[in-house]
Amino acid sequence: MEAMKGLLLLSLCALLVLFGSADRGGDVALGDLPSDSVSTQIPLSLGGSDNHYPYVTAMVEGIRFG
Amino acid sequence: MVDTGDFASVSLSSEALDQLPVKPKGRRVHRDATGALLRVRTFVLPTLRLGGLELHDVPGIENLTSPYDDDGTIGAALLGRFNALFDYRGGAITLFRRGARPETIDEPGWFVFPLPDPLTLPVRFDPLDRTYSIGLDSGCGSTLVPAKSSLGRALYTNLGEADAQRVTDSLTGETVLLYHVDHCLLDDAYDLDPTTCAVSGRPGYLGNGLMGYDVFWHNTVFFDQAESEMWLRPAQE
Repeated sequence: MEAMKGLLLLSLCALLVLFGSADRGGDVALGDLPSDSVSTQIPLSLGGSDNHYPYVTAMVEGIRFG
Repeated sequence: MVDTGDFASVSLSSEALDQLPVKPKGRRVHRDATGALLRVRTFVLPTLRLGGLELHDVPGIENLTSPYDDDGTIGAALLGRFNALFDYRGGAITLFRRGARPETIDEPGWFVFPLPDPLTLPVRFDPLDRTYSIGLDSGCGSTLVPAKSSLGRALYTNLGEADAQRVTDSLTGETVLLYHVDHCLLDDAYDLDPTTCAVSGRPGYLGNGLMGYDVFWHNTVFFDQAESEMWLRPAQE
């Protein structure tokens, strides 16, 4: 019985660690607009199955996505 | 996809990630805007270019759940560093340095609302008698997805099933209830869309629900991060 209780407690702790550490992935990227720019305009197209989602093109490590 | 409801800076599909000379660094549990918990791989992109913007050491997560055939999403942690103008009908998103605003902001026709949280705003839905905190999610294709436990329950209690239409949720495939809300009021000043519909289904996480496509389609939307404000100007129909 005690072993069962211990196991249950351990499981609860593991769940707390798992879900307690769930975050919003809100790490911030480094970098900025060029120093002589106040803004940058990015063309977008609407896509998805119902054309309700905004898509842009991004270059990642020299590969074009979007 | 530009997804203000994705909290990460960048999410990439597994297929997109496999094309890059980037090794995943580890795994962690990530919570999406609907409240779902996902176990994802994490990575850092040495460079990412978006229009005239060049970012370095961009933290990202693997997107395991997109139902669409896209490469990934640009999310709130990246967008939130800038003031951002969403102009769907003009076919562009413009990112400004914090503190900078579009020249058109001085023109008439704008409504301005406080954003208590970076991407949520207070909304009142007739005939409900309280204000709900609603997340603005450009990755939400529906007009409104109420959190099941709060706004969804209130709609069900006040309007009942007789006023609802049963539809299939395009994202999850589940059968959900579709309500027509007569008035959707922001700060009592602006009736967002008199034909607003509400789909009750997923639990919701960002406030009491999410508002998506129609807000962005029917308005030019400007997020002023420095002033914690959202500006809306109805689009010319």
